Amino acid sequence: MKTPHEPLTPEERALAQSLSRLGPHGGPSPGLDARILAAARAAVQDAPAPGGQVPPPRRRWPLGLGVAASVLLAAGVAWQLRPAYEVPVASEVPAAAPVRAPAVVMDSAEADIDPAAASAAPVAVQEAPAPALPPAAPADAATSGPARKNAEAAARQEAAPKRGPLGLIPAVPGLSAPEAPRITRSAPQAFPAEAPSAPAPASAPAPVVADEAMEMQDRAAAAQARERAAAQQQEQRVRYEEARQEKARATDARALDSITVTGSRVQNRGTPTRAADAASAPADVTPPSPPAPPPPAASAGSSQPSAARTALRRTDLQVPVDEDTRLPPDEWLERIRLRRDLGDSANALRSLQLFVQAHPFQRVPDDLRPLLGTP
Amino acid sequence: MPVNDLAEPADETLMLAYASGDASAFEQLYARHRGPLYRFLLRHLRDAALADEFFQDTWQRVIAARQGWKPEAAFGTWLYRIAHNRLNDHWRALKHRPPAPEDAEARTERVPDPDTPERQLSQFEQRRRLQLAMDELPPEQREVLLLRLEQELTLEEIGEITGVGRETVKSRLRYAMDRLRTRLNE
Repeated sequence: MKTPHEPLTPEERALAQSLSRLGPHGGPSPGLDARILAAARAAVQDAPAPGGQVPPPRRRWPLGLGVAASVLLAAGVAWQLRPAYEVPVASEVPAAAPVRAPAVVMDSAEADIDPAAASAAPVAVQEAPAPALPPAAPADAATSGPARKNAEAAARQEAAPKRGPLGLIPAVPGLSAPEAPRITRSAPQAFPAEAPSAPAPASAPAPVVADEAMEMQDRAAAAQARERAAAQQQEQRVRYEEARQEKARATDARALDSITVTGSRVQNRGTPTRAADAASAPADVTPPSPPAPPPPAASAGSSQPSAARTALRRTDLQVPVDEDTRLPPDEWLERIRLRRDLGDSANALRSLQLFVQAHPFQRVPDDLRPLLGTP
Repeated sequence: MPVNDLAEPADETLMLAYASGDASAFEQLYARHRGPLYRFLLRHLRDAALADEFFQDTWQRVIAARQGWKPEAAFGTWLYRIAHNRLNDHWRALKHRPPAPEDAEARTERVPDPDTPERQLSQFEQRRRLQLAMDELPPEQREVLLLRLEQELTLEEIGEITGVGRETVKSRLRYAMDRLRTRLNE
């Protein structure tokens, strides 16, 4: 602060007195004093905060930068979501066409079925479009129509493998007791509503688009499922034609046999022979129910299934082997036998290996042991 | 440098009060320093109009710098440093020493011949010699001499005002005193 005062020496004081006498003696004018004092008072009155520093102006660039970053983030998210929203819509129209096209063809094919082959044709006709529609389709289709198409397509992948080999066959009163619950579980759901559900999608595709807005996440999987189902239907339709031709030939062959057998008078005297029943069965159109399929026990042991049954079971071969793991043990073994009987030994072996892994304590049936290479 | 009475607040206290918004504190401060500062400027400039201008400019700088002022040095030292810097700017702008007073020729002619019987100078003549001796001093020596004789500032304070060291101030003061002594004893 202040340094210690140094008094003037006598010589300095004498000179100071001389200077003071020399002058100037005056001071600033009163006007100058007034101006300076007025400036000092004005400065104090204009001060924003007495004794305080002027607050620095707030910087607004962080706020602007934050807003810009938020807008950029929102734009980026919108840009990322835009393709995901448009892809299913764009693929909906071409995807729906191939799915429903075979159904229409199947309807026309069903109309062209020869009444003479009615014993096998209903089974094949009803079996062909089955993989394309889930078991729960009838109820949903009856209520909401094609609006549930995507959900159905997604459900097909899980519903189809759960269906047993004989689940595609309509319910017959003459079936054995163990199979009755299974058939009553699947048949009333899958088959009766097959016809009304087929023409429905072609009539109103608009609700489908509306419904997709709520199920955007399932679009990709549904589109793939539909494409795969369409391919399966196309293949099944070809197989169905082949099966129908084979069935017709088999029917003709059995008819020829029955002619031979029924021509015997010796056998005609006794009880009706099996050949006579076989001959009369195809000709019998009056019974409303289709002929009962052979029981699973019979099919398990038979290595030569009928042509209709072969065509029927071929649809099960479309199911991946991994899907067999979802079946109950009995149905799984039946699926393995079916694969084996239809010549798909590789998948039958693979399915059997999976079966052994999944059920290590269950005995492998004797008829399936050759697949494993064990006696 | 006026010595504050015990009852009166120090210059630094008044300056802090003024910086806090007390205008009356500035009035007291101004009353203390207005005369010495004005005379200091007038001795240097030897022009009343310039002295008024520099005097007002010096106080305007004090007012403007009140917020950032800290009592690290005496208020008087700070005040005269402002005046010193303002004078330096003025000398620097003129590029040469301040011109001699308009009546320098007449003053010189009026200086009595030392060989004449009027050798015995009156007191008036003594002051005139002192004035001439002051005018002949270099500005830096005259400034140090005035700050010392009129303001009674210490060598350190003069050094803070003029921006030089204590020894430099002491040397300048010694040379100025010698010249005055020589001039007055002639």
